[in-house]
Amino acid sequence: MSALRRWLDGESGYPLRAGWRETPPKKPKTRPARRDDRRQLDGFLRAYALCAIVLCMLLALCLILGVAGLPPFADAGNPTNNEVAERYVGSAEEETGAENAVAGMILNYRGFDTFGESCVLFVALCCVELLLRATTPALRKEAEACEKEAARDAILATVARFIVPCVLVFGLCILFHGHLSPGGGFSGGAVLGAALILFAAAFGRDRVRRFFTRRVFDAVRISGLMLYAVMFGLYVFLGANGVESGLSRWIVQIIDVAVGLVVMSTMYGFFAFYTKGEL
Amino acid sequence: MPFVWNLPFFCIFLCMIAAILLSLGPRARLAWGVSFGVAAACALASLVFLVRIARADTAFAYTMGKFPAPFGNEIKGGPLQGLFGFVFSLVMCLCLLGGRTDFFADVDEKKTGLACVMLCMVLASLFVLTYTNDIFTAYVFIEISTIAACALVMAKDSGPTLVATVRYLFLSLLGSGMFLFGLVLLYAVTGHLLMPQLSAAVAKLAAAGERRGVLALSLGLMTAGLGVKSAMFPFHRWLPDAHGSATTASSAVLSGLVVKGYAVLLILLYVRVFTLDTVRALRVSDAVFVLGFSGMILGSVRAIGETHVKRMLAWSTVAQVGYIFMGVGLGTGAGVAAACFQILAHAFAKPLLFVSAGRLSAVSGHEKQLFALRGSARRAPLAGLGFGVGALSMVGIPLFGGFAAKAGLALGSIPDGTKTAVALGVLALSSVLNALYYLPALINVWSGAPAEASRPGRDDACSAAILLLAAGVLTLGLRFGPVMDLIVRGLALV
Amino acid sequence: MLTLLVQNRYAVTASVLFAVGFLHVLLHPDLIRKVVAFNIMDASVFLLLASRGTVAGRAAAILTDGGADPSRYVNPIPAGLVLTGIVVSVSVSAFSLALIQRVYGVYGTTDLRRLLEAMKKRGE
Repeated sequence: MSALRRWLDGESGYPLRAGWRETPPKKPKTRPARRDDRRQLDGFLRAYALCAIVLCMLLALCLILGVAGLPPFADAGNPTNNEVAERYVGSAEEETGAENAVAGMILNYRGFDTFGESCVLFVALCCVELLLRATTPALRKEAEACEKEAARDAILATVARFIVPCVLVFGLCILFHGHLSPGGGFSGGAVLGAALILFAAAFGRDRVRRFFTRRVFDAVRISGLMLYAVMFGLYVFLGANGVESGLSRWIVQIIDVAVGLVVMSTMYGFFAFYTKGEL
Repeated sequence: MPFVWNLPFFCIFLCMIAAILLSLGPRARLAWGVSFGVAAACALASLVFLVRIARADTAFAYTMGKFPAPFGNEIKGGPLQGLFGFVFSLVMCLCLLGGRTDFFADVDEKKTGLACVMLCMVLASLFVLTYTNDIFTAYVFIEISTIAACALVMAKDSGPTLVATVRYLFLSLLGSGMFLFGLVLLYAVTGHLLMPQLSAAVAKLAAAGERRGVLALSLGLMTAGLGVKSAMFPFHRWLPDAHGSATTASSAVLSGLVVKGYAVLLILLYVRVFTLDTVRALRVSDAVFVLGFSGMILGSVRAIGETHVKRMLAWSTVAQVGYIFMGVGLGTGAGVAAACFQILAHAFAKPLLFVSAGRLSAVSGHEKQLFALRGSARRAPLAGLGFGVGALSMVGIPLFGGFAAKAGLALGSIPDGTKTAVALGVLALSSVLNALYYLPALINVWSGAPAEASRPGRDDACSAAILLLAAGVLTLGLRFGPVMDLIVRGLALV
Repeated sequence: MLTLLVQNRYAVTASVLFAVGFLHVLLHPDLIRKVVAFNIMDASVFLLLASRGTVAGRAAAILTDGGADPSRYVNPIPAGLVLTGIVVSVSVSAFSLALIQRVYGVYGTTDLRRLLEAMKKRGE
């Protein structure tokens, strides 16, 4: 009780914390007993490893026993092959204008998921920028310490001169043909992004910066995503309120291109922020 | 369809479009203003929606596109969702207001826009987690919420916050992995992703007693996944570091809202998809009950040993989340309703505590140790009062929201004979433990030397936020009946 | 039991991979290895999904005949979900790697144990 009274009078430290300490601690004590500390840590780590192993064994056992109860592999009578799957395959072309049923499904029927997915990419790029963009001298130094630009490589440059155009054409082909054949915005955008990255690696970032400046980068990325958001928002609003709009037939093509732009700039953005902390 | 039914969709898209535009990198004040405006607009729209849907007393599915369930995405609105949406957006708005000064001080000016992107995205994902009627949409937005929440932790750029973010992110990713695995298993045995159809398929399987193992595994994995993300007991280690080291607004948003989003989704899964009877039959609710009350005790015990005020509040979040899981774990309608009420009560009280603590520490030279805050409430009386209201609510003093939540939990535990004794005992013990650290902290900030030489500047935004949050806590405490009634009606329509 | 396991061999493989990834995340002290382990976990879920999307004797869901005969094609949903999963996995990997790069910049190590020691030394 007296400790409490002294504390209330402002004479002593905080009760119930760190053993009714008499005076507030200024600094943690300097610790001579390092070896002891380390042994304790070792013991903790060993116990932790044991727990983790047991936990994972249990997890594996549960999972295996669980999945053994799944419907058999590759059977046409599985619950997943139901009326939903049939509708996606049977009416995709008529309802969405996409021969590629997967593209029709992700961009039209389940378009909100895909919008969320594009936003995941967008948020990730924002996070990378938040972390790595070198806005202060200290950060710039840090970025330079992490990454030294390699000397220009003659072999890489020569090969890239041939490959980059091919990759670009291939990427555009996948992107624009995505609703009719395997491919689509995500894969096409990734290929285009890879072409940009290869170009930057072979000829230097400055060459890329001549046509792909920060402003272009933002414009491409944000207009792509906004196009998606506005188109899809309109589509949802009309669809949910029962207004017949005819958007459904060609929304897939437009969104596919928008997604492609977003993915391309995001992939390149990752690369740029990783290497130099700046676009 | 009445036009008002469009409002949830508008809120979601408004947040997302604002987030996209904010990444253009506007000036710091403008970015903050935009995200505050968006949160305020969403709060207003949600209020209108809540009033209308509560009066109509109905729930409706809103097709996201042209194709109705089970073919296209859907969201579903009802009184419960309206209530959560309103409270989440209102509290987000107030957190932004209350943490304004610290936000500008802690976040690099050129990166404020990006931090605001994250705030908008967090709000959007909270809305989606509340309104969604599609389990895969929920997964995608869980990921958005995870990434954005991690970004909010590290918005205050320093070594310890980076390491805290790493731990938070890695544990969250484990959670995502488990949730996705569970989701795939559920899809494999039902063939649906939309909740109404899933629910019908699960009910059919449960009635026939088929594939019990897969159902239990899937439910367990999803529960564990969401549990990791909302700091359920054995997976809580990341929370104190992450919430304790972030900037005031981030801590308030993370502790008050983000953690709740996952809990709301879990309740949705339990009530709408699996139904409480199946959850009880699969014995998952018992596990959640045990983990819930362990978290309540452990979180409080660790909070007693803490001298850093924000870490103390963060440990208390672990305990308070335990209340939610205990309520859910009761496996009855009354228990889940009490858990919902606890979500609301904590969503007001914890941001109130964080904002007040931020202000108290600002008038004490930005010290965060409790002994350094001695007498700080004399220098900032309103913040001291706010801290008092929050602390008393956490302890469970009548008049305040926390009491009503605890009372609801206690009453909810009575029908289940086996759990009553444990639940009541743990509630009593945890109230005592809460008192053991909140009351000394409260006395501490109000006692000691009153005035310092350096008079701190006024912070009107912060004062307004504290007043409104305290009003929220008191409203929940005094108007317990109508709110609870709304929750019960909402749960029936979920 | 054994027949059940053989019937669902891909799902069993996925479970084992998932547990392996999980164990590595928990045990390996190196942060970059942890990110790799996350990718293993994600890949295992994709394997499970892809195996659920297979039907013996059916073709991928590119509707060369306009979808006149739905029983010729597999269910497109798992493919779409895998696509979404991959995008999410890429995003979180990019974020984690950026985070690790910053941690390395501040503390000069990516090893969790040394990281904690370095933090202690700085009194954090």
